[in-house]
Amino acid sequence: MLAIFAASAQAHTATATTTCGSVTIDWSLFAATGNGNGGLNTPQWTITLQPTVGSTVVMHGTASFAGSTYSQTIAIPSSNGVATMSTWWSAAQTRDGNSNSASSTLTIANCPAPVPPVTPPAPPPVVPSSAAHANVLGTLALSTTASSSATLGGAIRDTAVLSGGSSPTGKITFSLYAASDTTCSTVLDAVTAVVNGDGSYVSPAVTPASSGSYQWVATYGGDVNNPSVSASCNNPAERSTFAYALCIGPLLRGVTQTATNSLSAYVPATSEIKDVTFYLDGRKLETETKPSHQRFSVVIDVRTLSLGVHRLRAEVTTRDSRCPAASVGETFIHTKSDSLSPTFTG
Amino acid sequence: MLRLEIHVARLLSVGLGIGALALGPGAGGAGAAGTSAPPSAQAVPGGVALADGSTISLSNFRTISRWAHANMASVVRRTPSSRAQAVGRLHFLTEDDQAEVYMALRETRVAQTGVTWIDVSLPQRPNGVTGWVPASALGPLHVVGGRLVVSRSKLRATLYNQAGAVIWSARVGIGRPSLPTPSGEFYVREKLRALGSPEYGPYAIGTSAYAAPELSEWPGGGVVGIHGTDQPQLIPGDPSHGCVRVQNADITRLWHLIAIGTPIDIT
Repeated sequence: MLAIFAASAQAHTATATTTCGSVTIDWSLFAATGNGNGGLNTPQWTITLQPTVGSTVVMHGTASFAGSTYSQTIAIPSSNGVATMSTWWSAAQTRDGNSNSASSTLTIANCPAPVPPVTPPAPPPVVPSSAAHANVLGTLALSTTASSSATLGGAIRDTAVLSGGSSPTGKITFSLYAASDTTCSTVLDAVTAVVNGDGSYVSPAVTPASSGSYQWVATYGGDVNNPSVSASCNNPAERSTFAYALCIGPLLRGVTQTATNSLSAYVPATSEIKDVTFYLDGRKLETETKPSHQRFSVVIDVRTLSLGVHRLRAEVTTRDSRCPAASVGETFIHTKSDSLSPTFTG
Repeated sequence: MLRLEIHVARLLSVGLGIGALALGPGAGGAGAAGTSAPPSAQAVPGGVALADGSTISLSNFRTISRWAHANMASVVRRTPSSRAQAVGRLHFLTEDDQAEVYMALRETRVAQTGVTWIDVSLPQRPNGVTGWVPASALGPLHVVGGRLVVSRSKLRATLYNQAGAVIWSARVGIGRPSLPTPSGEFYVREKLRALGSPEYGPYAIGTSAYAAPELSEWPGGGVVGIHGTDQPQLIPGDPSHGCVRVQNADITRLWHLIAIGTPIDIT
């Protein structure tokens, strides 16, 4: 291959910073080797990540970035109490699609579940009477705040502050509902945190089953010295949104920069791809459901198009219903044949 | 990339040539490395991310030059800023409906925005206009080496490879005194063949130069071409409307040697 601009395998996980429920991994030394076409542009990388804890894939997503380093925080199911994590990654230099991949194993701290308090006991309760997210029963108060959003296979979580209690024990239950569930009648997921005195408690991370808007309701179950208390439904501060990032980074191959007669393009087939729909300038061409020769392909008779720029787009649906459709597009220029009488001055 | 490989193979088959073939390891300029060099020998400027605020040269018009097609019809700015004065707009086609070519001069990364910009030479009237576009507005950069020098005083054109060696030379006809061939630094935008017009000979090469004064009867005001002729007796001389005419045998050989994006220095 001449004039390559290949993604190097020099990148390795450099550091892993752990907190309960997540690990932040810093890759470094993404370096391009080769030169030639495209060799002088700032490399634009697409990295595909698939970390696993044991045999459980905790994330599968892609991200694009420029530069020589990349950092990603990954939520870990706290119930695993993991000590090690394996990461598989591949990096593609998007200018020419060359890629390389590697895997490595990180040693990270155990993260006991459920999550303990992360702040010292709070001072005596000061509960604003108008606080929508504070539920007051006697002198015991519970205020809550949800993480706003998560993407790229991340997770959402809730935070509850218990104050005014009498050395409360027991647990706080964090229940997740759809944001549209205005009566909080259908629990989609529930996680708990052990209570050991007044203070701030962070829920274990929750990865919803699908993209969308959610809301939390936190409930302290009470003990012999403290009554139970619950936050309210429909609290704006308790909204979280969650979006799965692309589960597959589709590659559209074969789109030449210029085309005179015809153009053949394809998406390499993988077991994760259900079907591929090709669009030309926004107009649907066809949907390929069965790959041929490991490819979902399309052939375009360019001669029927107007001269100038056109855009071919491939929309990929996956077999994992949690993954939204992934789309990738490339432009090409329809030119006349080079056999013509020129317009030069002569 | 595939097109480049095919082109290199064609040049190799004739054992001569400039363009993509002529790049050698450690060859000056912007630090070109050979297309056939092993990866371990590579040290490519721009192969690593540009630091904020830094600028590198992409073309020196002699040993290495880089060009690209347009990816989008981006506004071309006087400085690398989306608020800078517009000096033009990228387009996709030449006057002959071939893919337009932009010579890439410099690349810079703006610290405040993190956006990489490329300074390009614009094939438009007046000659010599340059401006900045976001790197994303251009397709992949293609690499060529060497240059073509057209001497109006000597009525001779000479093609040099990346090492500076002469690989083609011929007498030429240039523009008549009232329609002179313009001087300056230009480049090859298109290569045409089987023209069907005897006055252009068998092959023609479109350049980024425009005739001065403007010729209203030609699209774009008159693109300066390099082409053959049906009046060989007028070469050498100054018979043209601004184009560079060569004998048909000479244009046939030049057409096969020269690559899209090759700089043209008209003196």
